Amino acid sequence: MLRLPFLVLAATAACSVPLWSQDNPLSTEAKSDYKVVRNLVIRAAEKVPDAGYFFKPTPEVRSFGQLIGHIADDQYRYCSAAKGESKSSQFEKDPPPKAEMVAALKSAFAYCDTAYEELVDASATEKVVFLGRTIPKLTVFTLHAGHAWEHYGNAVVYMRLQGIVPPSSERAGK
Amino acid sequence: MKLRPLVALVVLIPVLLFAANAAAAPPDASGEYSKHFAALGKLSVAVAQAMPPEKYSFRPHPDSMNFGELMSHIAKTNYLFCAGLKDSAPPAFSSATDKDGIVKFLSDSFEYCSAVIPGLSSEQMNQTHSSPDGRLPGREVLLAMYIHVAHHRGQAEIYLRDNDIKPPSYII
Repeated sequence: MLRLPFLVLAATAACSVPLWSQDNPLSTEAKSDYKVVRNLVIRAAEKVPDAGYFFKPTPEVRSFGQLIGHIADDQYRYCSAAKGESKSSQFEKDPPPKAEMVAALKSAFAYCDTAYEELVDASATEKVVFLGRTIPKLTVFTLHAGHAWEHYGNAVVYMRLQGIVPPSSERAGK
Repeated sequence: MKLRPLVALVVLIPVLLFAANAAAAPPDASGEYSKHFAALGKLSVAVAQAMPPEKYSFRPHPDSMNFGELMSHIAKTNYLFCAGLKDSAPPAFSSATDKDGIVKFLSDSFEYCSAVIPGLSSEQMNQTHSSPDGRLPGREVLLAMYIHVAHHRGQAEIYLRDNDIKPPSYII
């Protein structure tokens, strides 16, 4: 809940960026941020026990399972747009048990991994259709990252309410 | 709450269009960003205002920030990002712990950023600056600030829900 994710992001970027990234600053930045939030979401999904997937802070909102399902669905929504493909899932509507949900989440991120791997600055400004708008491909990825961070923020509080330390606070020891 | 991300996309696309293309920032790009940044600030302040004063000490867990600390954290970080963008030290931080003081602190932080961003040149967008995340190009500082606000607003939404308060709708 503190600023650890961002320190991790900065450290990752500083330590692992290859030289070719100097010619691809935009796509390199997008990839670095994506990997941080992807790993945090997967770790959160793994860390919450089976029973916790039914937890809701209040009756009006998504259960934790639905929240993870929503994030999985959105990997296809965003990344299929970036790839110019048509692919979707419905895990939020009908979330499976934890083991299947975690596997589905990993598969959804694996799909996005391929979209990010294809991204270079030269292709970042190519226009794609997303939510009925024609926008640069890189904008889709930026929206994707912001969306994932916001829902990871939701998940952090879901976890705290169940007495579980969120992955981004693990190094702080509390 | 389920519609909020979708609405957010529609609202924030112009912001992100700018952020994503900031490397090739046109001369007026920072001015364009600042228009949308104002809406982002209004939404964040609306979230702060939605929580009643007596709930500013609410925290979902003993190790979590309380609501007031969460809002103050956003404000402080805004100041640090935006002071970094102009390569200067941030102003002294408010130590307020009451709702009115914290809402003002948060609101002032967005005002401070709104005074910095429109004046940024393309050169400043590409130059590296100090930030809470280390030295980053200006375009990355703007993106990091957006992500930071989104992440903590995602937390604040659940704090509000925990207190049976529906989070405010996105402001265009």
